Amino acid sequence: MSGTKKIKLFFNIEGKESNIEVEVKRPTMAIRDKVLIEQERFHEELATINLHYPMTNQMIDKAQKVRKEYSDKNLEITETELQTKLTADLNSLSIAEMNKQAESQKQDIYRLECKLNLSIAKIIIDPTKLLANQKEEFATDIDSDFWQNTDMDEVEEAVIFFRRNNRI
Amino acid sequence: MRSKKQLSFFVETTESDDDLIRFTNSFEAFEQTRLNHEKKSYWNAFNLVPTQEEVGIALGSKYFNKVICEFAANGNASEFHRLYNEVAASEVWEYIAIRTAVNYLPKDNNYHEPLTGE
Repeated sequence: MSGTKKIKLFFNIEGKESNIEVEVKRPTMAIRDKVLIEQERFHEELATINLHYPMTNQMIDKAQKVRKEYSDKNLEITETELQTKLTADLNSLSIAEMNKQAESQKQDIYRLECKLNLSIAKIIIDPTKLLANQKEEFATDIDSDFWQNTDMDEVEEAVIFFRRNNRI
Repeated sequence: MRSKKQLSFFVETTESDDDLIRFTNSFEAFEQTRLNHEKKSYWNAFNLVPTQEEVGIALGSKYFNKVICEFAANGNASEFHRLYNEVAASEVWEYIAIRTAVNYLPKDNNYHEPLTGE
């Protein structure tokens, strides 16, 4: 018999704090498969995001190659020298533009990771234990005010714990 | 800084479901059944449905798990759905292990006393 698995949800809505204890669903084969499907979807979407930023990927690849060349020769390269070298190679975009793209890509990936964790949290938590208004908020999309103001690090921690514990 | 609406999670667990699956898979029932199947057919229940190599980890795992549940349900459709959707994976494996042990038939009729070391 599997042990008790519980998640505590602490709500702080409009300054009024409340907390409820919600049981995580049993790690059934259906739950395991749903988590894997979300994981696979995440990788597909990640690949699509990366395709949208070909220049940053090109820059990262080239930066790795340049760093390797230097380390093979036992030489050190400063960030300025590296950027100069990369600009010479990829002169279609300025360094500032590339950095902007890299930042944008990073944000897209972070958002995708949040979406993955949120999807898994929704799969593993039993919503029948939530109060009506909490259930409504919990079921909203990642873009909702509720989830936008939620600490995603803690959602991620819960999801990682569940997955590690059940090797999913 | 705490936001206006904040949600925190804490997960408590006493046992890992995966540890229970590993424990169940180590039962002698499975080992003896494997030893009794000297000549195995290439085709079996697991590769007659789409496999992970063919259709990816998620879909392949789904069919693998469904075959496991069908073994446990023994042709009972409602039991199959219950096992897949409501029962922890470790309990499905445990059920199969117990059934394998109960249904075990030795290949030869020789009775071998386990060695006691005395």
